[in-house]
Amino acid sequence: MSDHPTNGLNDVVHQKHRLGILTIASESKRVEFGYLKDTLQLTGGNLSRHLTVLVDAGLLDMEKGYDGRRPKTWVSITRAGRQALADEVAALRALVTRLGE
Amino acid sequence: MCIAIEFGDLMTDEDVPDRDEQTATDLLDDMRTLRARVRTDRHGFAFPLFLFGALILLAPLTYVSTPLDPGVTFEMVQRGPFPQFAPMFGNVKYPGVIDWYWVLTIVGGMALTGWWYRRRALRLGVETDTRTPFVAAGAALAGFLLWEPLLNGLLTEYGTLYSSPKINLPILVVSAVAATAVLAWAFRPQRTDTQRAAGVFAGILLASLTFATVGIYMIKGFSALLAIAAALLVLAWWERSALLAVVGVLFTAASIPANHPLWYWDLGYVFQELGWTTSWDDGTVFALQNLLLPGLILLAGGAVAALTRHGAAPRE
Repeated sequence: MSDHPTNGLNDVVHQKHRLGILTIASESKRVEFGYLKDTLQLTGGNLSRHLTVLVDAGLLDMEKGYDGRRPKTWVSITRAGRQALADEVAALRALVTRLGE
Repeated sequence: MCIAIEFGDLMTDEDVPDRDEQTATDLLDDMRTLRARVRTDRHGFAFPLFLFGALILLAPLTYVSTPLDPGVTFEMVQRGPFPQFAPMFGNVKYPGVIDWYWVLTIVGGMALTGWWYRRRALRLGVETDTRTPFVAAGAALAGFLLWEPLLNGLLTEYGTLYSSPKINLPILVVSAVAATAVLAWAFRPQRTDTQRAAGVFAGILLASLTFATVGIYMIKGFSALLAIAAALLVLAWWERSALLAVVGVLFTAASIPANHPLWYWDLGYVFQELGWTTSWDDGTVFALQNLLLPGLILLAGGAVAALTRHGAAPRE
């Protein structure tokens, strides 16, 4: 008996906003908190919680700095984050394939 | 405009498997949409296209020449510090200025491009990684300035491998294939950081050797165009931009006949056929005839990018 594709899903990644954050981060060298907030239409607090989960899991790196006097928080994806995202996409594609059978 | 991605909620045991299968397609579609949005936002290549286009079109001003003596049809030019970047013929007055102009165009142009992307990222909030295009330009520059004289000095007694294809072409092919294979190996996901660093270093060295062997055939002295072309093509791949890829390919295609007389693909001959005649000793016109098309391709590409808002200012 083969495993159901959902067994390949990672609980940390398989959440709509976290998947969105990783997708955006994977497409850039680094991305700023405000850009993520606007693009994903999240509140600051909600986004912070998701980022904390992803940083704690080692999927994102976080860097705090200033642009003039304005504080800025930048995040970048780690190699583990890229791998987790690739695994998630593979699991989702397997699910779609299963649906088409 | 913002795109909200309507992904499914965190999966629970009760949801599995039917709802998973329903939402998987939506998830993948939404990720694709989000990815396209980020790529469009981070495109910033209009600036380097305008910058390098302008610098290329200004270059002929450095090709000041002195008239040849009566009865002399051509003579070898004086050589500057980087003779790979100066024309082999034409009585240019300041070969050192020409050499330094091209070196500074590549190095300074890349530095300004890096500054532009950095500044744009601070304004927009999403940054493109420009290190790889810079490395491509650096590999080309190192190939032309370091490897090329080394190969010419070590492997032939005639001063250039231009007429020794039995030596030069095998080096070109083997180094190009090896560079591709080594870089592909280095970027496999399972590589450790040390393996990847070693693979990238070796791949860059091999790519640099490939550029040197190509540079040997660039006898008209505009091989700097190929360093710019390499950076633009890598940037197009890095930016996932079809527009920049088209501009990069056209620019590369125009840079080859600017550097080598390939029958009627030689740009100087084409202009002379059209009635714009010149002599070998008119360095400025010689340079302009060869650089006009590559420069205009970049300016046109930059204009299209700016007008279509691909690679230009971020949306408000």
